[in-house]
Amino acid sequence: MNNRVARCVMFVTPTNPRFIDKAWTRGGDVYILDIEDSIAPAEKQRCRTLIRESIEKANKGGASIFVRINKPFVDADLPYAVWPGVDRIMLPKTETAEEMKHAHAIVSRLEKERGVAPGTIELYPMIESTLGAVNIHEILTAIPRRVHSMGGAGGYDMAVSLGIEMFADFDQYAFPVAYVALAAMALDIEAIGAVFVPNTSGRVDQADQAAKQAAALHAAGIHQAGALHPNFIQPLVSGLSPTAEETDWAKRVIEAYEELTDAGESVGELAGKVIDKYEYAAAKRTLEWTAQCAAKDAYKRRAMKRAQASESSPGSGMS
Amino acid sequence: MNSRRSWMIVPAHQAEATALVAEWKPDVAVLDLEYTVPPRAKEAARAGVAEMVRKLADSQVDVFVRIERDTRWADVTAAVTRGIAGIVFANPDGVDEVSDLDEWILKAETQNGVEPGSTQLALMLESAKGFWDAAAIAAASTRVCALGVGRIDLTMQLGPVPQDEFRLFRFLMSRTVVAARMHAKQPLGAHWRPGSRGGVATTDATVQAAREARRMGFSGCVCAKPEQVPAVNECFSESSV
Amino acid sequence: MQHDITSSAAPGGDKPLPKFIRRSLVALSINDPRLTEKASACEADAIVLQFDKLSGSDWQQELRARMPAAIHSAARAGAEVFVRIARNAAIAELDAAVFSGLTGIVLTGVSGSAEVRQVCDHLARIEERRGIARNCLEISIDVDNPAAVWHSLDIARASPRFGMLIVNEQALCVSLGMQTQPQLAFDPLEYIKSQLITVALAAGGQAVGMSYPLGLTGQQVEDATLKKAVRRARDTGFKGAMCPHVSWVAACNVGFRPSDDEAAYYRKVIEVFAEGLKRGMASVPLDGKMVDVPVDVRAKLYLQWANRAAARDAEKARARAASS
Repeated sequence: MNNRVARCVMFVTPTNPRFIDKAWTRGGDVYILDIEDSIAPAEKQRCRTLIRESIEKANKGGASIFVRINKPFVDADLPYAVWPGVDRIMLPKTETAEEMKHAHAIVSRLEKERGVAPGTIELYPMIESTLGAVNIHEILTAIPRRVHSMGGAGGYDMAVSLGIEMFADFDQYAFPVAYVALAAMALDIEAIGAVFVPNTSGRVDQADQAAKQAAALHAAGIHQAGALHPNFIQPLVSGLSPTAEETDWAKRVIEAYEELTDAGESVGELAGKVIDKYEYAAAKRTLEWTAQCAAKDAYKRRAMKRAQASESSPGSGMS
Repeated sequence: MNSRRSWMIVPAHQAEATALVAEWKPDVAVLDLEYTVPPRAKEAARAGVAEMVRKLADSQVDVFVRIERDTRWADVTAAVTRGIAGIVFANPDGVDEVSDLDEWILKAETQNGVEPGSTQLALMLESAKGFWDAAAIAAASTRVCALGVGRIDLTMQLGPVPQDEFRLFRFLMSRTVVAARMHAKQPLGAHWRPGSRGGVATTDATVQAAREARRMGFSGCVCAKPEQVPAVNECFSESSV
Repeated sequence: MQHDITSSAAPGGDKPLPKFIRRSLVALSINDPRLTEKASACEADAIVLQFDKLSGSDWQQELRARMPAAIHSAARAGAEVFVRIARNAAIAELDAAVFSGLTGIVLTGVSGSAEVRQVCDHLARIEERRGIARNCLEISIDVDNPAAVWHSLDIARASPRFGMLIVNEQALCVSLGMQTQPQLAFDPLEYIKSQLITVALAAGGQAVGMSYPLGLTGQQVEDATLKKAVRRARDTGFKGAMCPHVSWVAACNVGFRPSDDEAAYYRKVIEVFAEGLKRGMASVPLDGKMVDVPVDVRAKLYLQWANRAAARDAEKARARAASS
């Protein structure tokens, strides 16, 4: 059973066979089949036609599959993106409720045509401009379908929208990030969240940057991250998983709190730390996270075993 | 009306409450029916709060009562009695909730012989929805005298970020100051940093948190422990220039 | 069927970024006897005229008499000219102060969008009365109170005349109960500034302001400090700043646009990408980074910004030469 764990989300280019055929071996939780910025304009049509077969290639190791389409080609892209096995469609540079409604209508029709239970595929409006940021509330409430939120992010397109140079040593996206995050939280919408870790080098391939990022996200309580490079996958997956200490502590907290409430108390102490309803809620979330990660890891292990078995069996057709 | 820099939480079920107030001299004594009162002591606390309000009403301190969300109606009925300055309501969900509470308070005022309309409301924002609607919430009732940042690292699960702050904390503080000041309400809050959990902030941590809050436009904050009162009073006395 | 979605700042869209080249804005009083001299010497992109309403005088009549010449003087060195109007006396002040030659008004004391629409309507009547082209006068907002911050999006969207949100840091600090001396390691207005920048751009305009603490103190400082402060303001998204000191003007004119190094880099990007396209490549390496369509589009956008700034400087130089 695949679940929503997305410690590491990475883009893959369906038009690059070397990449797409091997992506599943990298251990990511989610792969995004991209028709947008990693695909040259001349290649986009060919890429569309490769999406459907790429789903099975990329999810061989147990990853979930998203598809990122093009903003100017929503109508052209969606028919190639809505298939069984796609969990989420990412809508770049979303700016208005109208755009959400438009995409939702098309996806709904295609789900019915393609045998996907209506409403299964989530839509994820990517906020990459000032207009998207200020319109976030209407964007997130526009459609009767599960939406996901990035919880606010900076990035290349937002930088251009603001007319700024990137990689300064301070948080250049303070309001857009915080405001989008608040909107998602206020609407109880699952959001990725972001933490500002200065990256003045501008490089996206450094594994130690990934480990730093993971540690910062983990401390802040955020369990999802994007990877621009395969080097990031392992540091993110392990860095955003709960540690054994966290899980053990959470179990102890739960036990201690339940004893407290049995006695009609609400605040107590365990190993010098305060135990109250807030710690109890945090501990429950930790255990839930532990269970989800364990389920995802087991699912990935089983998928890997199956994939490796079929690769080594005679006549498997794998070259 | 004296300035309300320090809002000291005093558990309403503890007899020492009045003594603590006399000893630490906060600007506001917040008799607590919420976090600091365990369930087993709740009924007794509620039953005794009117007497406690009366005892404290003679002193220089303003007396507020912090009610519990889920039991707010019973808490208000018990608390709104002669001598009370106002109610502290943590985690208002939206405008309707505040105006409903306003009416319930009016009922209690009428019932308990308190001048109608005199009981104020200090609202502590503790949810994303609350912060989203902060301005409307501040304006939801004429009783509202203060709008504050509550225990949001706990209630909104805001973890620490590398800049030695809680995620979104300063943004939410900024939002609260704007919403409060635009409606001429007192902004309450302090710039608490990640550190030891439990509200037992050291004096240094309290000084830093309160001083920074003052400079961010706040004019008072909640003191979870009496020991914090002197530092908070001093920091929020810093002049405007 | 394709959607042609041209957003307010779509790379490759037909809207330039920034909308206006207004890197330096200087406030001058029409009651200042040295107005003409100061305006001529001033190399600011824009001048914001303000006036005193002396009690016991018919200030409206006096203002009507003096404004046209004041506007003309202010424009001598090629600056765009605005006039400050107080929202709560708008009708009277607009009648007395708005004449041909103005680019627009800067409205102070605004707390909501309805107020802007009212002013907008009155501006239309004045345009008609005074032979000014319809809908040409801009409305910029001096953000000086918390309500203006909270309602900034509605305010910026209230009228197609919207031009700039100008952060009045001193007034905001006072109205928010903050101190007017900088005493924090971080900017207490950080999120408000970021909000106003985001909102202004989203509404098709831009924001004017300075980084902390210089935006608050308005001091004259040494060049290196000023340069850094302007850079920080640009890196946050401001497109210009009010200059309380003449010394700020040059630093802002240089700082609120791509630097010469950045412009050179963008030219290289464009050249390298065009070369690559000729050879059928959609992505070309340059200095360890990949140049693809979005990078090329940004380079063109930012280079256009640099060129427009240079053109503005040339335009002002010509105006100065013509008037001397």
